[in-house]
Amino acid sequence: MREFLRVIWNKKTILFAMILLLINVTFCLFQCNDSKEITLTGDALTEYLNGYDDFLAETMDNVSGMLGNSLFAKQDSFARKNIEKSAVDYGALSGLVPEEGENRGIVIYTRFQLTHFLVLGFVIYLVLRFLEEEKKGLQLLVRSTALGRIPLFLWRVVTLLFGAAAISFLLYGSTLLVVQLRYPGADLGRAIQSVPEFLKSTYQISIREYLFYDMLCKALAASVTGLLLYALSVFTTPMVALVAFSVAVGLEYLCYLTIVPTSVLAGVKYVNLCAMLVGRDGFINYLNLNFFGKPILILELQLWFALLLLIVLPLLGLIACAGNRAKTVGALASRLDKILAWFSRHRRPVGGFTWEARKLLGKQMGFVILLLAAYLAYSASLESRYADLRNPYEMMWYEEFAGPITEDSVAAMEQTMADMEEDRLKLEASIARLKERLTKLMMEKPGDPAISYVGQELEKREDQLMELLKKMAGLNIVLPRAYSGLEYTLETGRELWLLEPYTYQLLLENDSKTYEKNRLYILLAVVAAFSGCMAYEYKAKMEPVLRTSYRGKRTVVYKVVIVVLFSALTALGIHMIQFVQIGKVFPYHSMDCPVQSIECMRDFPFSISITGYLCLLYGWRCLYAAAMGLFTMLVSRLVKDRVACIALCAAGLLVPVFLSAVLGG
Amino acid sequence: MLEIKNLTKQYGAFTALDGLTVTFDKGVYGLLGPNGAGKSTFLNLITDNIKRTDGSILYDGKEILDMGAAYRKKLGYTPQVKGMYEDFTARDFLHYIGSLKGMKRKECKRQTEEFLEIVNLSKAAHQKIGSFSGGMKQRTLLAAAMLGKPEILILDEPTVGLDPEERHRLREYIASIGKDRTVLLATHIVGDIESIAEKVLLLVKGKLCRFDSPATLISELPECNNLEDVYLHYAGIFKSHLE
Repeated sequence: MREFLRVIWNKKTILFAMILLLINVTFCLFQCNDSKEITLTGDALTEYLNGYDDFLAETMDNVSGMLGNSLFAKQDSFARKNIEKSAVDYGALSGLVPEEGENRGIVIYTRFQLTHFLVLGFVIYLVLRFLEEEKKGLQLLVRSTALGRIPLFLWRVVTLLFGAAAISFLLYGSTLLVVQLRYPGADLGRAIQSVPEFLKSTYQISIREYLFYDMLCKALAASVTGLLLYALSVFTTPMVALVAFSVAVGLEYLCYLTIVPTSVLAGVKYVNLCAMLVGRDGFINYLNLNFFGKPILILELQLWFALLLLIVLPLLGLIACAGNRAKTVGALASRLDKILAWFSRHRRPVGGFTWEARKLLGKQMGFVILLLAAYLAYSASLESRYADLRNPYEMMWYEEFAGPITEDSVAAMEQTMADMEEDRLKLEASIARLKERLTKLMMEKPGDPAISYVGQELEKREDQLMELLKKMAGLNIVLPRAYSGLEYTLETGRELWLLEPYTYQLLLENDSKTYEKNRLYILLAVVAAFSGCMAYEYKAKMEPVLRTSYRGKRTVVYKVVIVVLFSALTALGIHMIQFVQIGKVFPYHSMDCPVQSIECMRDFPFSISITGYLCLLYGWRCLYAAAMGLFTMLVSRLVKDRVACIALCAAGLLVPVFLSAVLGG
Repeated sequence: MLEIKNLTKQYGAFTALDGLTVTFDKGVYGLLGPNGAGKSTFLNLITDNIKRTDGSILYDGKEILDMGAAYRKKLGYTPQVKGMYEDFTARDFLHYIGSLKGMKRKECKRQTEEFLEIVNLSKAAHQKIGSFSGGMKQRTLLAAAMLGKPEILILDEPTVGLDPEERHRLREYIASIGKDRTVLLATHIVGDIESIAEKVLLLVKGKLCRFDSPATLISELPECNNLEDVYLHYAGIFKSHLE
């Protein structure tokens, strides 16, 4: 029980959990505010709901068709059994009536990914707390006590299971709470198939039941993941266990990301810890995996796998723990030791800067944290795709009159408008004449072949008129922009270009939520990566040595350079994700023209090109990140503890952002 | 030559070191004194780790505060609070200290291997310091202090945690390197000093009590058979005197 209290009911653990909760809620709020096109709503949703019966009927038809196919005639084959199971599963859904309702919150909950990483981080933290005794050389002392082996191991397993379940329910629960508050009024009693994302699901459960089972599965996955690390650490040294665990989880994640569901390796993709932590596939996708020739749904197989590990891992750990020997270096670790010794002997000394970089980015995991943040920002950016809804009849005029806005160019635009107006009148007159002729022909000579010719001609003219009207409407949007630009030029003497406004407006103004979210990722990454910067020296009690060394004081300069450089690079990398994602849909153009050509930038006081402005903007954002890095460094110097530093920085930097996200709606 | 003149350190009303004047030439010097005598304060002052209240410290006639980094380049130091990165290997730690001392990389590598051999850590040099015993950590710190072969070597409790064999070996090594540099050895293990120190600086309550060779100190007091007796004698005298 004391072990439980030591690890869980502990200021540091609670603080860490609270920080994770704050991070989770803040990012979830951003996700809610950012995701405009989350799922089908309005007419599209009604259409989906009305079409659900058709989908079921079509699926059943397909199944019947396949059952009649000679390819699947072999009774004992997996393919045959799979089709038969599909028939049973989908057949059971007949009569199910999906209902209309608020689905956005549920979809965000299902897609929100950050929580998986946070839960994993907490579980690893718990196991590392167990391993503290080894770090402090207390392992033999603990093992020599009456309760230091099996009872302690069992208490730790219980602690781990409780901790993993608690953090899962806390974080996933907070996500659920946020989405429910943001999108209230969702009727959770509806069938899960009421949410379009669950179209293929064959589970006859309500949304409420789905949410409960999903959280339960994730808690189970988190527990098993923690148990795996703990079981590994019972067999070998903490470092080897961590490396083995990282490799195993990394490979599983890679399999999960890269293997396609139709592959023969689909089992490896879904029956793995990462897939279980992500969780949604089992509910969303209908896929039967081949389990010794028997088709079993993803979720069911995942659950059996998790339960098996839940029993096997503690058992293995128990056997290792009960042995009368203290943990020793095994053959593999011994070989590894020899390899490490060889590398160590042949390693060349490096300079002071490299050492500080190694300490900050390697020993304190700074690089991994920054990379993880960039990856999270990237994966979040994939969820909010940009749709090109620009009017082509407007765009053609921007292309046509691209270049500086002058009195001549505006006059040319007016002339074009006047010409089109003239064409319009001509076309309208022509259409009127053709209509009159057609009516006359139909009245006087109903069987005359000329009717068809005149009809076709009339249709052609009407099409031309429609096209012309669209062009005119487009130019009517462009002309006021040109007038406004010309007015500005005449007032300020600064030449503007005619630019399509949407691309840069989106980048600089309209996609501010993505920017805010990215800023949050950067901020968190920088705080987490560099919070140990100075605390590390205090913990190692190296301050006196550094102060009395020839180049000891220079290490602070190196640290500053590294923090500034990597904070800025992280910021640049993460902001560039948004830049590139927008650029893929809305290609950037006319980047050499004055920045004031963008309407929202009219008040910018300096004469500078768009390229120059973007450089300044991204430079400024990098500087901001660098300043955050230096602030973290300063706090680290003052509080001399990494977790306390993260907590303080989170309170100082994250809470205002969190509040702005809440208040900003 | 390290000249210390009227060195004083006060913490508020408390005087930790009171007008200490002493000169160290090449050789091994022992620094003895009971807890709270001002030994660590004295070492912190001559390593420029804390600010002095009064007095001066000259190295070859130059004030060490004016010399700055140039003075620190000549310094090797193992503080009483043992500072080490436990997640570094011993070899990496020495390489790191070498870089802090501004050593050339090739020379750093050469000396690292040399000192690892001297402190008998060659075989464990690729292991994390966190997995080391107290004695191994102590030896790593000694190797780190000796790296760069500094002209002034300040060792605060360097033999704590070492087994007798290791202690003997290191004592002999310190004696050998003390021939062409100043080695200042602060310890509670009086035996370490007795056999190798040319002179012993005895501090009590922040004041210089005696500064002489161990032989002289022992011979001055007929009731004392060894340096430990001398140490206890002076510590006792001062205690009763103050009472």
